Amino acid sequence: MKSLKPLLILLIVPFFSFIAHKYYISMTKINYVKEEKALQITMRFFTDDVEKTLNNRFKKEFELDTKSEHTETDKFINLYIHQKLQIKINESKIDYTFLGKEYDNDVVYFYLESTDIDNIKSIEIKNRMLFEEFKEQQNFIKTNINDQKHTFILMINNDKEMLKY
Amino acid sequence: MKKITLFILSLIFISSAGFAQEQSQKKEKQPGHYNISKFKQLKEELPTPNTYRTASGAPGHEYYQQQADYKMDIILDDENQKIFGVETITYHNNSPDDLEYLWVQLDQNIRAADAQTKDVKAGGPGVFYNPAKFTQSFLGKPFDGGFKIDYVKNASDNDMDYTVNGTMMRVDLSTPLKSGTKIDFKIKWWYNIPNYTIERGRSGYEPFKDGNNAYIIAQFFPRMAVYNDVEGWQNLQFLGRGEFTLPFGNYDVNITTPADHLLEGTGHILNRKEMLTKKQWKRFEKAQTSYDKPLIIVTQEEAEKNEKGFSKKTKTWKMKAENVRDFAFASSRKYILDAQAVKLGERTVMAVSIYPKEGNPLWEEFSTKAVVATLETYSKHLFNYPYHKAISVNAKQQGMEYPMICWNFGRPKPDGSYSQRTRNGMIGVIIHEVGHNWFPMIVNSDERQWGWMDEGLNTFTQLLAEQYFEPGFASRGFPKNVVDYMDGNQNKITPIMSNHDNVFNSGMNAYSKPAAGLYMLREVILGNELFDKAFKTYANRWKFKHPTPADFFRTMEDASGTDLDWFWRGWFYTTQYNDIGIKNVTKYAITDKPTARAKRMAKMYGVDVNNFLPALFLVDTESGDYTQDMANNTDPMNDFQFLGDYLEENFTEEEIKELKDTKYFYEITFEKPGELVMPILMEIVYTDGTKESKYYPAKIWRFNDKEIKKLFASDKEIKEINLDPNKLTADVDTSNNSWPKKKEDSQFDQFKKKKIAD
Repeated sequence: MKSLKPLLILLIVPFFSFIAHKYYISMTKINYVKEEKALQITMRFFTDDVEKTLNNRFKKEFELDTKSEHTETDKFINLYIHQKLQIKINESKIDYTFLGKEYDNDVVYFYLESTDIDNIKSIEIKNRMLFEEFKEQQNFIKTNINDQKHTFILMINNDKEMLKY
Repeated sequence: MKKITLFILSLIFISSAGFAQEQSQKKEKQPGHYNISKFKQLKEELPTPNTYRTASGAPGHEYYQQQADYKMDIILDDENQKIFGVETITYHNNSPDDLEYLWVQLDQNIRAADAQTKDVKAGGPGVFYNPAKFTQSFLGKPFDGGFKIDYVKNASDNDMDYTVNGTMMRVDLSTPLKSGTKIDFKIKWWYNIPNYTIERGRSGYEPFKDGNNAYIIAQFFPRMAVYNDVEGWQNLQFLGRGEFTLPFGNYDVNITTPADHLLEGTGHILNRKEMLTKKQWKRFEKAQTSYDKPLIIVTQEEAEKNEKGFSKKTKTWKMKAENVRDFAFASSRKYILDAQAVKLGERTVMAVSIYPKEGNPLWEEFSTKAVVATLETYSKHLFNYPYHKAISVNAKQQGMEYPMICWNFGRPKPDGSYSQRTRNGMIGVIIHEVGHNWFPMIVNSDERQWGWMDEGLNTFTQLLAEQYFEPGFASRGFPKNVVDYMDGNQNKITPIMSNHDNVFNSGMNAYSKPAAGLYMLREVILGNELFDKAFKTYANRWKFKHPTPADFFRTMEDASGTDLDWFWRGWFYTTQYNDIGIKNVTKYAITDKPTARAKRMAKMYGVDVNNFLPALFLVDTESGDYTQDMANNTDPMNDFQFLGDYLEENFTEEEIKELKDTKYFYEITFEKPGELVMPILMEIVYTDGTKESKYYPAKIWRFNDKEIKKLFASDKEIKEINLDPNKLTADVDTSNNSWPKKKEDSQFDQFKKKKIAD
């Protein structure tokens, strides 16, 4: 219990009257490119939200988007995403590769890809990223699969969605 | 010649009407409907203009507003984190109505153990509970917050009846307060100051490891609610998000703090000289003329010495503020103070920052500079800052505004280093909060009802100030920043015209989307000159007054001479999004032979088509009318003798030389999958590489909301057409924005390519 104390203090959710971003949201775009048999995933988060989550989870100072960024950041991001983002296609779990990340002002993009997907009859997406840090976190998902577009929001008590084609 | 042209024109007009009639007769009879035009005026949404508020959006000749003056004695008890106050309110009833009772705001009651706030918030368990929160939530020891009212007394020191209703208090009057009269009454109160780093909210104290507290004290005294012509008494409870609506008034405030505290707050500090050392006072005086850079008045060294003192003695700060709608202050042993003078017209205004050493080196470098940039830009676009100072206070996790003073986050790491993100976040919040002095501290809109009226207008002006401070600054108000929001799940979006406490995503709804809307009005719909004049007119008409949304909408139209009802209707009253695309582009050739269409029309009206020759006809190159030889007609003036003759008869040789060499004709079909009506911004790229822009106003969509055609003629061949190339209209789907259709690399593809190239 004692060792948990500093962690709990760090976990206090900030509340801005003005919003630095008073809202906790992320955007994940999932596109299926049939010609390449590939599922392409682009995720966008506020950099400071991700940093806070990683720091607390892995007990390190990641210092994202600074000169002193942790040298193994990508390794831990990959690990974190794999813990939190699960995708099932045609009812079986698929793996994906973390291609890398990119910063743009106060946001960070993650790029993931899964290949050798012949067809998609159904997809189930479970995205619990940042929920342990921010109760209000809303993970928006936008899919473009088999020429059909869908948008939905995953939240702490509603963390997965299934689409059938 | 002229007659024939007229004849053709009228023929086309008549024939198309006849054609439409013919078609509708074939269809099933459709039900009727109300006016569903997106250009319908807002008469049913906006209140009827009256003598208080005019149809032009200005205050009417009988406009009135109440006034509340305060005399207060405050004691800040640092040892116990309590605050005590006795206040005398002088309430002026300038309304034409007699008032049977008065309503007072008790915003601190949001922290009372029995506050409604928690009960009106649905949701399951929290993700985690720190020990303090767990104890408060489940072990029967909630934070004992909220006002403790000792008494409410009238001018003769007799108790008055009062009833507390959540964050409001009704004070009963023995006889109604007559129109045009005033009343004095007195309230004695105290409350426990919350640690805002745990309790959250906009005020409280931040404890430091060295044993000091930094107090940012606001909404700290019972304040008069607004009574006006649109709401009567303000009656929305304070739930946490919808901020404050308050009458203007004058303040005389004495604040007693520990003797070694440094305090800044709303209004003049009348005894400042006594409060500073001789050296500091000299620096303070010197800063009054330091126009080029901030001067440090209380140094870090002095603050570090000061914070070790923990004096048991007290001192009293004498403050006076005129024509403000609220009062707030910050106080601590830890504060460093710097200031710079800013010339605004004939007057000099002070830009001031106070911060603990934990804010340095970031704060001494950027805070006051950001305040200066805000004062200059906002004064230019709205009106000169009317108060004598604007203070930026460094406070952990905060971003909150009060008259003349605001709390701003942003601290470097303990070793003094900071990321660009921390720096930009801090500059952005300072500009935003100082900017709130205009909206809503002076242009005093009702924040409890409409968050967007101050947040949206301020986020827009913030963008102008940020771009002035640092061109290319990542401002949140650009239209491209709201695309994902507007393209999102409709169940989680509310129109901007929604009560602030009831919107899903306040950041987008009250800040970014209205700001992006104003940016579009300025850059696309009205242009800078018309917009700036109208925006300035709104600010000046309503400074030191209480505007409503209708006053804003009406003034923007009135001062720009432009009907914008369609824009307010779409962008502010609905959750519709913008998506305009190019469906098709058809090339037309030119000929002097009547086309099938011309012949058909002539026949329909029993006219010989040869009657209106000679004339020119445009031929769809994909239609049966088109023949190969028409491709040779590339020089209309010479190819068609009668056109050449007409020109020679009507124009001089010089004039003919200056005529455009038009020979390419395109029919562009625009589609609009989005429900919003918007102008069409078209970039035409010619085969020779040159570019041209063409603007079609939104009213082009009046008669067809889904699809329209437009003829475009030019002297050069078009290579490609791009819609909204600078991303100014929040178009949610750009895949249909180009002709020929571009297969644009997705963001994903671009990243992958870059990755491979590395």
